[in-house]
Amino acid sequence: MDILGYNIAHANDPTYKRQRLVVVEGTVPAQSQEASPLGASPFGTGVATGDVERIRDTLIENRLRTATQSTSNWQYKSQAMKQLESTIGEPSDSGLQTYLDNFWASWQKVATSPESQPIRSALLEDAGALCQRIQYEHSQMNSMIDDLNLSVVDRVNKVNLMGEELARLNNEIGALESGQVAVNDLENRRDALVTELSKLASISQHGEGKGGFVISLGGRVLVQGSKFNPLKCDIDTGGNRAIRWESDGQDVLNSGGELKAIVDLRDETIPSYLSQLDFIASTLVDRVNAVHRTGKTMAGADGGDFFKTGTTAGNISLDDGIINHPELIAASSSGAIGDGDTARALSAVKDVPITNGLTINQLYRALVGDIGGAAAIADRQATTHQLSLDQFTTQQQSISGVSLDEEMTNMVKFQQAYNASARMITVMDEMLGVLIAQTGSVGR
Amino acid sequence: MRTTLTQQIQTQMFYLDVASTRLVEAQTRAVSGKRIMKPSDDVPGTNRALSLRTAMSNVDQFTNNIVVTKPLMGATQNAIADLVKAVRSVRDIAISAATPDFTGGARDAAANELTDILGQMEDIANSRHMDQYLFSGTATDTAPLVAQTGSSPYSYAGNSGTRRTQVLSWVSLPCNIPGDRLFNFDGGAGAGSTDVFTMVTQLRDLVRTGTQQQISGQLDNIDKNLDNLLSCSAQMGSWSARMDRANNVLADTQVRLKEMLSDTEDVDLAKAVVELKSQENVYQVALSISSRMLDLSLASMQLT
Repeated sequence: MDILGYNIAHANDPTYKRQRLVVVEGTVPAQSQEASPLGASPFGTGVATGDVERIRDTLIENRLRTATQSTSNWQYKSQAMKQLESTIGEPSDSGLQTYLDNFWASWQKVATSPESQPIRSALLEDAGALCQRIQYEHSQMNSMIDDLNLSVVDRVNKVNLMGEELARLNNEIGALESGQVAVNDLENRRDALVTELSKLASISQHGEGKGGFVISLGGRVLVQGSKFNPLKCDIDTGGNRAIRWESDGQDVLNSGGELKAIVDLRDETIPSYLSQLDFIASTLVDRVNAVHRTGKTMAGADGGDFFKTGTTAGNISLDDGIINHPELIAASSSGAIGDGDTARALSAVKDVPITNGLTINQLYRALVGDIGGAAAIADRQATTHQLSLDQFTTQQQSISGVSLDEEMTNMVKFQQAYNASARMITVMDEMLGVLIAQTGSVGR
Repeated sequence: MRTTLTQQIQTQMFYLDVASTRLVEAQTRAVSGKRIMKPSDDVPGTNRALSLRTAMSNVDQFTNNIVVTKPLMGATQNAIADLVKAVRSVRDIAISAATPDFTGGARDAAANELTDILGQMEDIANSRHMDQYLFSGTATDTAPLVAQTGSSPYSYAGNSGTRRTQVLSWVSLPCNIPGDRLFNFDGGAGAGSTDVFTMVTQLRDLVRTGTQQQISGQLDNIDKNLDNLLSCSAQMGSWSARMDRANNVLADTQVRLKEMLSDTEDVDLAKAVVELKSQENVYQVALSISSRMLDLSLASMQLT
């Protein structure tokens, strides 16, 4: 009844595993057999309480951890991709595409009215806004990388804390005898920690016993019994945080969990978008400058650079000479003021294929498509893995969870058994009463 | 299968989550009117929406080009028409002067009229639209005519450049006629022709003192110049007509692009509302079932 009450009390604890009292045949001490005047009883000595065991299925628990690991990995990715998507803010009237469109349209305006100083100034404004927008997206992506580095440190600290606690728990468990409620509770706590840990990294658990409990990460031992090998974060050559073993400074080979998602995003996903954005920006700079240099300014002089040469997405800006000097925009091909041929040629740069037949606009659309596609995949994968995780959780709860109906039924069952035992004693007592009080009258 | 409390609760939470997420999605779609909120909602759709926006921006800009250029062309056409009128009256004077009874006072009056006309023609030639000279080619900051002494009264100071305006992505139309061609400074009107201003001064001098033959000898030059002006005028007319046609194409395209963009990006509102209603029902059912199921337990049964 004690254990039953304990189970009911923990019915809502998802990490709790229901416990059962194992009832064993009573053992008869060897010497008492001879001492007994009646000799050995053919019915043994009744029942004795054995271990209190936790009802569980290790196979499902392992699957649950694998599913936890991949779910948290994809969920992290999906979150990060959502953030990226909101950074680029497409499709809308405020995304980079709109800035590009305005930029090309401004060249058309200048081509149509090359004499107009205000329209030239407006072109410089639009070009400046385009530069700022590209820089903004670049810096947003870079700050995401910074945030990811902070997350690495945070997650590694968590792993270390959990590893330490696991080692401590192992120590306590080792000090107690198995099969006790106290040990079971510690073991439940340990299982929950291992599941938490599998959210962060691709750990696997081997062995159960006192010294045999091993958590390994990337082929090396993280926790063994009461020993714990901590991790550390170093700053590597690229300025990123590398995850290493504190003992010998080797890289940790992690292949799952949130840490893997963070490192993937930081080292592959976002840098690839950054380089695409860089390519778009530097192509824009090169192509526009090349055409701009063929033109003539309002005064008929040769055109200079429009954008600062050699700049990429991080620092794209207008050439120092042309800022505040709209008359230096080389809109004319002949040098005559009413000639807008070069400006028209510049607005046509948007239709010139750069690589693989893609124009600058198409390259940008490809970038948006890449981000959107990756976000969609991450979202779908997160949902799928969440589904299988839910399934395993359900299965695990089906086995290890507390069923109130079952406990209630058991309660009635134990109550009945108790009643029956009590009735037995009453009957024995009555029988003894008959023997003592109602047979013969000697000594009365 | 053995079912437990936590399992039951987790399952219910899961379906409640699904139902409420879908409800919120349907709500957002219905409220915002947008089918694509972020690229991952529909990757090809986003791509299409972005190219449609670019196409619309192009069409807007081409329409804008036409709006800016049309008045310029209108001013040019009017100026050419005035010039044609002036040359016609020059021709009339030449014809009436090439008669035997053209004498004395009539000669002076005609010569004075021709001087007036020359002045008018100079005004027309130097006319401007929004501070830009119409007939200087692309050197629009320079007055086309510079007075000089000698056989011709003016020299041409502009260039022979053509301003072009992009009206469709594959069409750019000229929108001016450089003065050297219009006033026949380049002699393109035919052999023996002079520029229009020299033509008028020559005629004026002959009207004062020349013979009937000399005056009628000028008619060939006048006719050549008149033909040249008329052909320039016709050319402007045809460019202007092409621009109008392009404008119609752009207007049609704009409507079509807007429809396409709306088809790509926007939700069908009726559908969105029906969807919202049905998700609301699903959520409500999920809620009421959950609340009923959670009540069911042996522990809460009344023993009778």
